[in-house]
Amino acid sequence: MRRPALVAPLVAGIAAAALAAGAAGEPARWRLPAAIVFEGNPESPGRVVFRHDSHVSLQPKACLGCHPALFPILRPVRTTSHARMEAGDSCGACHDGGKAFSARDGGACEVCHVQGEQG
Amino acid sequence: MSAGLLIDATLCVGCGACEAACKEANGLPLPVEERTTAYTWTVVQQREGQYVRRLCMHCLEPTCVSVCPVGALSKTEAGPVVYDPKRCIGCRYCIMACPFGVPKYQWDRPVPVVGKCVLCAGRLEQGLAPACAAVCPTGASLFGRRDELLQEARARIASEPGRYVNRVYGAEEAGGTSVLLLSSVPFERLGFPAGLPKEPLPLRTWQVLSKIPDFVVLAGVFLYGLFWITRRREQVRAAEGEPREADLDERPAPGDGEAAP
Amino acid sequence: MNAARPASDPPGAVRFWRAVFALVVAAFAVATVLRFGLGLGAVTNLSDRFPWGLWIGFDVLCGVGLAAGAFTLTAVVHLLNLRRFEPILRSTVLTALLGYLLVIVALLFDLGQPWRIRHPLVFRNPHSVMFEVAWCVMLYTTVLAFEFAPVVFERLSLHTLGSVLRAVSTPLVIAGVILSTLHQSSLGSLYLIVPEKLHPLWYTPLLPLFFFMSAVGAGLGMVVLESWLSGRAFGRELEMDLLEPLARAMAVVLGVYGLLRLIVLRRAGALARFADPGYEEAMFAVELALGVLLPVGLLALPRVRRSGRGLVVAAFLAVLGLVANRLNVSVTGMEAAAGARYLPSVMEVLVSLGLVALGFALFAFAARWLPVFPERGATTPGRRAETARPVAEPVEV
Repeated sequence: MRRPALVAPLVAGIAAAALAAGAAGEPARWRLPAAIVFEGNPESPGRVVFRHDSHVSLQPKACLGCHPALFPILRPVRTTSHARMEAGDSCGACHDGGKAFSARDGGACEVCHVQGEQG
Repeated sequence: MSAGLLIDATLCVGCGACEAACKEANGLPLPVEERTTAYTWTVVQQREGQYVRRLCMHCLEPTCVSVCPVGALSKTEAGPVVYDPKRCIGCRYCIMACPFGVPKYQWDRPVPVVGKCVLCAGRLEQGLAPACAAVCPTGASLFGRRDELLQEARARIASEPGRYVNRVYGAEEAGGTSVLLLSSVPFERLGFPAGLPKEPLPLRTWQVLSKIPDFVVLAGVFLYGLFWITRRREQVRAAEGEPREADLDERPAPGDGEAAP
Repeated sequence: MNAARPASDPPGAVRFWRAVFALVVAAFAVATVLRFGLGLGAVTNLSDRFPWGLWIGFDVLCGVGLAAGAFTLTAVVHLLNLRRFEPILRSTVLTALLGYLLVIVALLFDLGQPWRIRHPLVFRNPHSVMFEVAWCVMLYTTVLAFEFAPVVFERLSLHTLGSVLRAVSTPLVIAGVILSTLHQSSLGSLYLIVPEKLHPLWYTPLLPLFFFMSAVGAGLGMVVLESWLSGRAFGRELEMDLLEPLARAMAVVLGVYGLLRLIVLRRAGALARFADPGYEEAMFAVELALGVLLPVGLLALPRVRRSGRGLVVAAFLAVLGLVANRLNVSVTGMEAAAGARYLPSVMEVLVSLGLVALGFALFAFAARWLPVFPERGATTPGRRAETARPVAEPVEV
């Protein structure tokens, strides 16, 4: 819980810094894709909303970090599984507790999963 | 009217979405390499402080299509220059001849084929834009009808003359290409051939090839005439009781000739 | 010149050349396995920047160019009716036939998918120079086979077949001359489509004419050279009375060719480049010296023309000059545009060497078994007894 709380603002901070500095690719021009909603299955604590703007560094070749190796770029995926993440695929490629907070951390579901209908 | 792409390099942020989409749409292996190869059909390069994308220019009268001895390459009505690997014999004339250095070979394979951008001809047939243009987040790669894109490109230069060099690359290079480029940096400094003739390159070989039928007929008549005359001369000589040419020792002695002292 | 020495040679020399031949063939075999097992990239220095290398520049362009003596000589004998050149016609046609067969073998090495070499017969593109060359080479190789077949029939005493071929010999010769003119020039036309890539010292719309003229000239040189080589191998006298006029014709053709090239370069303003000569200018100078200036200059001297050695040296220089020209067009002249230098890999060289060695061996073999050379004392091969024996006793190669 400590780590997620720390990392999420950090990513946002980097994006904000990039914005402020007008770095590499003038973020205004990036026009990132809209948020992608992963509808949770009945057992899941809720759907997950993926936002490009909190994940993309606005650096050259940024898209290649995830596309197309982890996620297809032409047909957005709307489902994934913790099993795939455990195997280092999907979100788990970064959310492994190393590059980013771990998707395995028990009890931190609400970091990604939206509870109720508020998201 | 055929389709094309307008690539406005001044809008490109180098994000790499086009590279990712190209790999995905064409089933090409990762990673995205630094320059185009048989496995990387488009690549975004940083040159002179500007991003510029490399891909097949899809010439209106393609050199590669003209040189291929087996017609493995062809220009479709819709605009793409496509490749049929089942016909290809691997002569690599297309690689040697392409003025833009586009076709690449699978040098690492025992049974290689050529690799090049095909403007997502399959997606075009389904009414979709090429993958690169479909995912471009900035509009730097714009898909549309070539004539409309050319108008748009000229309009952009006219409205912001300080932003662009005054040239739509592909408007008339080598007879014109389906892919058009706008840039703030002169194209030769981005590595594009700047001195290409305006007329299509295949004209240069066709001017010779198209004369072959006439040549064959004329040469045939001439050579047979030559044969007939020399034989006739010998027959006349034989009839007049002269010795045959072969027996006539009219050969010059070695060293004999105009240069002899 | 491997094992093809007469028994009178010192056994040491024979053994040496046999060893060289065996080594080259063994290396060739290894290179062949690697080429087809691992692919072009693994054994050649070819790349996307340099897709055509030694196998096209030397094996194909030079192989075809140097075989031009055959169509020239058949035209001289059969169309100009200069029958006195007939004694060297068979060996010339044999050289060309072997040359073309080896060109096809070289193509099998060079093509990415050699088993599809028949595709130009099925899938056609008349706009492609390569398509035209493919058809011409295929048809002309067939013509050469028909032109040489009577020699085989004579050996096998198949007189009916021989006379059938003799009946169609004139159309065959005419077809051979036309096909040769077409593809000899078309090998130059291959490069017409790269005006922005081929260096201005070599690019000109007259490339097809220049390829044709240089092939005719150096092809005649090859006839002289081949006569000398087989003379040494089979202990025959040099036919000075035949080779001297051929060498003179060669000098005239190459002289006109060299002059034309210089005029074209001057008109294009390319001669100014020699004020500040670089790599390309040096290579051009080598080519011009070997292929034109030295042979033409030498043959202008009566003393050289009178000596067999003189003719052979001039002819050899002309042959080297053609090789230099074809490599300059296919490699030197393309390097600046490619932004890279190309040097063949060891494997590429081994394959080319192996094919040359194979050519010598096949010629020696054929010359022993077939009535290729006129019998001593006979005036023309046409007068030979139909049951002519091979000129030399078969010897193990």
